[in-house]
Amino acid sequence: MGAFVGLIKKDLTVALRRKETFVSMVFFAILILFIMNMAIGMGEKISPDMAAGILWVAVLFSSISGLGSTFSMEKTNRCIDGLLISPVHSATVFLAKMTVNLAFLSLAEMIIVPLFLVLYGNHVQSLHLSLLLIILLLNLGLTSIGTLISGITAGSRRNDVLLPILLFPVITPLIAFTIKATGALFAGAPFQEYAPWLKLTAAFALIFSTAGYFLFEHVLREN
Amino acid sequence: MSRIRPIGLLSSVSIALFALSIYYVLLVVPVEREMGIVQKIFYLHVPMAITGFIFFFLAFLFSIFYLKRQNRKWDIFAASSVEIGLLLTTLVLITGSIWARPIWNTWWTWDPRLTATFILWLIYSAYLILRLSVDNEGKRAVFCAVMAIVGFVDVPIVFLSARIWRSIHPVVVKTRSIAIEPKMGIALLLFMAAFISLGAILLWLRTSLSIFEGKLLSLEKQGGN
Amino acid sequence: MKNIGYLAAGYMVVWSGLLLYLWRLLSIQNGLQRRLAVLEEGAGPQAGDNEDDPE
Repeated sequence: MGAFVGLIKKDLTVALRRKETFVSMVFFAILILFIMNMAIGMGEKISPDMAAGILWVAVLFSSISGLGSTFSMEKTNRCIDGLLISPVHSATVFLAKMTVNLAFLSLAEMIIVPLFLVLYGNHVQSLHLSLLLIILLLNLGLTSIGTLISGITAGSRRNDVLLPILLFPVITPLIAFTIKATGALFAGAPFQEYAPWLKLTAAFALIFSTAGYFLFEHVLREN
Repeated sequence: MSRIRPIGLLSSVSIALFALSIYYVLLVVPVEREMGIVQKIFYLHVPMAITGFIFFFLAFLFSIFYLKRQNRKWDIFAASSVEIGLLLTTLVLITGSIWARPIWNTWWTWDPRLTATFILWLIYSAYLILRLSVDNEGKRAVFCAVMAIVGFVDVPIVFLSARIWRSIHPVVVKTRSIAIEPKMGIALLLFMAAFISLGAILLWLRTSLSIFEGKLLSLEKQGGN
Repeated sequence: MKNIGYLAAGYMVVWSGLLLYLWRLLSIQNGLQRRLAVLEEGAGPQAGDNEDDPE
């Protein structure tokens, strides 16, 4: 447990010193929100489902630069060697990395989501606090599989290109569940109506956290 | 020469099975009443889909073996299985499209099964792209094994997501149920056997090529010293 | 007999797809054999012990 906290502290400290990752995450989301607006057209009304889709596409794309930097700080100066010879279990490293990614993504969303509500507010018919639950579950699912795959792409030649190529196909079900739940929420449906989607999102997060927990050992060794 | 014999036997069996299946489908099986003759694409389409799926499952198993044993052989088997599975899935998507054009009047719809198959195709294409992007052999094998496992774990979720998406969304296109006659069932089974035997042959060819390449690489390294 | 063109197209796609794959395997094999030949020429007799049977 001490090692877990220590790793999180270390990664957070390093990450906070490199603000450009965070800034680029938010900026990228703003860009996508802006470009999506062109796809809609002036004065057109879009369905709640579509508005939810725009929000999560923006978050998904911006998450890439955050996830991509999971290991970049380890690779410079080969800090990862120290991690590998330390007695810390690789599963602990995985959980620590995932937690840091989770924190980063949540932090970015604190800016992205309100901004989305400002820019697309007239397409959102209703809003409810359970949006926070949806966001949390999406973040868990996205960072669980994202941390594992970022470990893979960090060891390849083309980290930046490869990460979305590997991540997006695997993550499509998660995005589908989340868009459905958020769309229902935006349309003003009661919680029970989209609760099944949330259960599936949670199941996705659980499955891939488990997969990452067991598979990360192999990935870490090859980095 | 002796190790060529089983594959030679399998090849002749496979060719015979294909000849028999084609004959049976085109001349013996009756034309389906509603959809007409295009429905006969199904006898290729469905067995290819099942065989492709079997190969993705094999890739999953081989990848687990690789992570357990770290034997290069399993990596080659996994990669070959993905390649063959992807070939079959590509053909499934294309034949499905060709069937959908006259029957549904469109090349493509986002029907759950189509969507799920398409995502499957994306996942395993990404696997092959990953293979091309990592040079170090051991590293590539481990990374690819992890991706093959992750991808296959994702498959049930992909199918589930596609299916329940539909239950809430209005159904745009209904899959017409086909009253399966005994002869149609036989035709499907025949093609199933034909494609499984073909898949086994392709797997054998592909893996022996990769093993040959591995030997050649180590020889070239020796020569370089 | 309506739509028989689509059926023919479907069958053609499948066979040509499979043949293309076989052709790809063959060309990989040719490439490997060429590399082997170059290696044998370059390395001379000392490397020629265990690669006599490249398939």
